[in-house]
Amino acid sequence: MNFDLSPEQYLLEETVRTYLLKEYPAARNLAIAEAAGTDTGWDTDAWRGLAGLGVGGILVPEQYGGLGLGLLDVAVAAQGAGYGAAAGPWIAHWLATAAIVRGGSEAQRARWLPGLADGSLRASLVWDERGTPVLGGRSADVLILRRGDSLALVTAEGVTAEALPGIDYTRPIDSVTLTGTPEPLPGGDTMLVGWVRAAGHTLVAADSFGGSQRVLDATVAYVKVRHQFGRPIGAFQAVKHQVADLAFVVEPCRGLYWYAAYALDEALPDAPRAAARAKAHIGDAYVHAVRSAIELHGGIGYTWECDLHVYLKRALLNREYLGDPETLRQEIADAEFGAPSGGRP
Amino acid sequence: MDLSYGAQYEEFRGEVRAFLDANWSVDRTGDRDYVAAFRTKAVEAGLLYRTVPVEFGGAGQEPDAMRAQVVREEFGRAKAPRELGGIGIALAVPTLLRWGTSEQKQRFVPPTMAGRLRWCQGYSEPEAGSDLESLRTTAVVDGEDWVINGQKVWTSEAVGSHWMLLLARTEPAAPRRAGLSYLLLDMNQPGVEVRPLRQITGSSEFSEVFLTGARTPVNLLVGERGQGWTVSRTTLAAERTTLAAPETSAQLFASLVKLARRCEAQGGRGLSDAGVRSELMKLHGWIEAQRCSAMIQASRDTGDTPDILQLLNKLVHTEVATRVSRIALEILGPAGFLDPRLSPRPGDERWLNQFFGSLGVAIAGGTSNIQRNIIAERGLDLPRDEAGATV
Repeated sequence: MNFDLSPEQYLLEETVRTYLLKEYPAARNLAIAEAAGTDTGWDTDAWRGLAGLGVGGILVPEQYGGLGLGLLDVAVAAQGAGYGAAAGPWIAHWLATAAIVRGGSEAQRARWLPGLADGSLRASLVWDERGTPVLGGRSADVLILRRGDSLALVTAEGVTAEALPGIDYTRPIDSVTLTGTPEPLPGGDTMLVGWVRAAGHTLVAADSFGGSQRVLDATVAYVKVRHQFGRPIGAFQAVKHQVADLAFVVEPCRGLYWYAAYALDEALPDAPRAAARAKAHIGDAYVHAVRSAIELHGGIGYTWECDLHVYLKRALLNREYLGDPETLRQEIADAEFGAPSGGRP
Repeated sequence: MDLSYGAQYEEFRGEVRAFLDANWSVDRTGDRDYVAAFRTKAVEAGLLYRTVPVEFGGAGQEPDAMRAQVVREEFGRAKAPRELGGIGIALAVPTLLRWGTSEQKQRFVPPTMAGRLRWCQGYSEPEAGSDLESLRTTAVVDGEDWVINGQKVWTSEAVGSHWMLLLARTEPAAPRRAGLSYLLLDMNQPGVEVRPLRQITGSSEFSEVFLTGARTPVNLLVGERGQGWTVSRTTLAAERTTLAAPETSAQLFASLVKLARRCEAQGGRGLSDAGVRSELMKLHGWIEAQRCSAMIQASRDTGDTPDILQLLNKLVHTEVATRVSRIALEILGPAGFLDPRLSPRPGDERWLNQFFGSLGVAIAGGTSNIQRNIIAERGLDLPRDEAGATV
């Protein structure tokens, strides 16, 4: 038994994280935030930069130019992306790409996967679920639609997209209206619908874990250098304990999303529950962690100039996307215990 | 990442099952002689006390966390008795095996393993709780003996203990921890007085111990003079027990779900209540996080330097216990004001013992606030407290 990432997986997470920290320091993320709501609404350089690392094709089979790896590998990349507040609708791209890998016809795979793998094409996901806007709908070349228990594929020409005033400036959101005729995704059945949703829970959980780690690290660094009363504030027990509690909320979370990804890769029966649990637990943890981090930063934490709010706003979108924590908890409870007797009000 | 056990361990699992089939009958759980004989056979088969040398009553196996885990799983499934608990097995044996003289090992380890010698731990004092290093009980050499004066407190299992693992100040000129030594003390002597303390549950599991001219031979010093602090830090090394905590949590969760079903059947709040379901699922999130963290720790060798996950274990354990107690109280209804100690046939009010006990979890073995100091200073490298209280 080995429940740890491989050296290659640690390297993948580190590569994404360090690329973003170097190329997208706080100032550049703030500039992206400033530009939110304009044009395509996001920084296409950031997309190309990460795509250049190969992250678009992690799940794509090698014959289509991808790396042919598993969901756990995508998830560790998502952790790195969350840590660096990666701009762009990566989560939707990964999910829609995975849907084509697992459910597309040979022609659909050959048409779309090479471009999606190298990042020259972008995919998005139109998911009919409360609290789930279309990430990057305007910039997508191809979209996967969930319609009830099946999936279909539509190209950019077949939809109109309209920007929504999203609070997360790093990941623009849209409402999308279907104008053309989608093609069915032959393998897009109930099973795949469930898989894509669970994979989405896992990737959002991974992103949330990465973001939580970032605000923890930033806070630990800050309380060591910020002096008051003639000493670093991190020397005061009240501050120290709040930081310890922040670590307590964040650090034990990682295994939740690792296990969910592993369970999906291995098709274990508890995979959907594990994924929903990871998403609910880490989703709450992320909001809590950023709030606590901002409080520990004092006045500077409340400014636009300090990039913690970028993470707070990512946490708000992550929390709702594909199901908020409380909805997911009731879902898991139904799966574990059966529906409540007397029904739900 | 691979959570399968692999052919080697599955083969071992087959051996363990065959052993249990041949030697264990769950109907005889109450038969003390049968249970004792079973334990002896399990040791001979290399399944219990795995890393304790054969000459001291163990199985003499190489440390192997996965084998230990397979044994735990299979014995748990068969409801077969495992290793004896208590301070003797958990603390006295590993401490003596690591630091004791061969004479001390020969004399104390085999009877402790056999359950004939019971031990208590004389560390905390009225003025030395979280700040254990400042303890004041003294030991001075007088001829062939150490003579000990002082007071210990919160001494679990002191009533009925034969021997105490004693931390005492032997080098008054040395600062704090450098002045401490580790001694073995016979509890059955006039200079030792045990006064049970009554706990919030109404029962007495820990005591005050007054040491007034108590004596122990000079050869019952464990380790060197002034080395007592280091000796006292000995933990259950070799086969990590990390994986045991989440198993306990999972059992507690299963019991809590049963309680919720019962309470509902009796007309109370239970499993159909959205609030209860939500809290149960939040708790389950923590339990799964605890399980995953334990698996990560079991997959890594961090040597003697604990990583942040290890430092967080106790707070996570406390969080689980606290959440369980909160949910139990929510659903207990009228059973929540009955005293489980006084009821002739206690029912669900027994959950109040878990409710009280969760406070004990937060306090015993380093309070939550001391844990936070350790996490911040050792795990996150924040500036040390000026009092220097953490180790």
